[in-house]
Amino acid sequence: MKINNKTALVTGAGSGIGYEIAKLLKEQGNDVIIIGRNAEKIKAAGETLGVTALVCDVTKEADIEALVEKISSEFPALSVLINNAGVANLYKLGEGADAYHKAKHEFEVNYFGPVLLTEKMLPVLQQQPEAAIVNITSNVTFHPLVVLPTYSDTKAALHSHTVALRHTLAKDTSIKIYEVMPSLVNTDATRDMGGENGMHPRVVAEATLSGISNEQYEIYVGDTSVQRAAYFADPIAAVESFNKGL
Amino acid sequence: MNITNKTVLITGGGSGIGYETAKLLSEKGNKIIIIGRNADKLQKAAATLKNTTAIACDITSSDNVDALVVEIGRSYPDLSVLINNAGKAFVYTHSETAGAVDKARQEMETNYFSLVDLTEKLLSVLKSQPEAAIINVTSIVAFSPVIVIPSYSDSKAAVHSYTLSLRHTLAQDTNIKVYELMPPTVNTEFSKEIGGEQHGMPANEVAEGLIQGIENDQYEIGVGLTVGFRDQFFTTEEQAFQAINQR
Repeated sequence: MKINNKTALVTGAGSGIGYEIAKLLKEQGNDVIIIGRNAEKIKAAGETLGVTALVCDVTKEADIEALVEKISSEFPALSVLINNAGVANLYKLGEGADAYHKAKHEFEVNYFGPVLLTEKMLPVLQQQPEAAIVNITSNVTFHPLVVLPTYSDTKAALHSHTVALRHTLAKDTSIKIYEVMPSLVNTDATRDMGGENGMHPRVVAEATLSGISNEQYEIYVGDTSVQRAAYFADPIAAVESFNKGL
Repeated sequence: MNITNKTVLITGGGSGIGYETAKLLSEKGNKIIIIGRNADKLQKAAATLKNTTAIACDITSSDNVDALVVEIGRSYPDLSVLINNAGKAFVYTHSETAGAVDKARQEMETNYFSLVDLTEKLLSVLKSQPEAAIINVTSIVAFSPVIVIPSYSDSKAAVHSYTLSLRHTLAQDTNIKVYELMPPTVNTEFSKEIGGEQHGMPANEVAEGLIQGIENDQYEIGVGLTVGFRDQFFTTEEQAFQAINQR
């Protein structure tokens, strides 16, 4: 799909990958709406980029309802939804880890949020001659990183969701479903896990937009293609080599 | 791992795969505790099995799980095998009116969050045994979703991911082995809506496959159609998806 002269919504766009995608979309002549939880941060990003910034917490159903209403009335041409917002807890499973509460929070943002927002946006997306939903997942979707155990679980779930949604919507809509799977990216969210060794989020944004224009439904960025090939060659060994020393 | 003379806890043990596993393990001289929400159903099931105790517990309630863990510590301090089998599924396809998030929340509660909660809280008793095992029952859909059980598939993908991390991490400093059972469609009450009666694998065969897998230290135990499907998935993912979504 060609992304220019489109209206696009990007979640979690106050910084990192979301911000860079919004920036690139704007540069390529699209109408962009960015959303984020933190009012100050998202407004500041909106001003810098010259795009519409809205405060919305994707874990709050009422926030999503209000957002969808605003989009339907003020941006009825919306044809691209980019589910990017995400949170991660860095820890290892074990006694006293409290994986349960960490997982609950991560699933709210990384899985339930996009599942709900996507379904609520389907009526407006379906009205467009062509439309796209882009889910940002990770290289941990196919093999977990043991220091991001429940984050990995959320991304495995979102990958599964993305595959099922792609095939279901292909039957009777013109909405195309893309998934972007980056390896380590240098953002605020990855500071505790050696993110400074990661790719610049701009690289992910560029790969995302070029992948979409090439109709590539699963977009692997950075080390992901090599890791994915290793996983398909030997899934058990790949989990161990991916987690070597952890 | 040898699985005789052990104390085994099975969630969702009142029927289906859980019940058949309880049956086989009780016949092999293990002490069994079956857990389920419905006290009546559970008691009736336990009454038909040897060496089996029923404890009513809704694993989606953290308080219920805490009470269960206290009871295990007091009455079954030799617990060495935890079988996370309880599951919930909704049959539907994605659409603007599907209400996917409400269904997904319920499925994740039973299939994923409660499993994470119970497993972590039982680590202390499991660690104190000379050998111990955690067995997570997932599904063929952990590899490739079935679009008529979309968020159930997501929950099983999450448990598969969790199982891989748990196995790696517990191997570093405990004797707890982590297994995963991946059945295809099984002929149980649970799978009636997706044609389990017509083409499901008998639950007792799944239980037999599980026990054989544990005895052979096979950590990812595929049974029935899952074995061939797994090979197909790792050869051509797209074809595997199409094959599993044919019906």
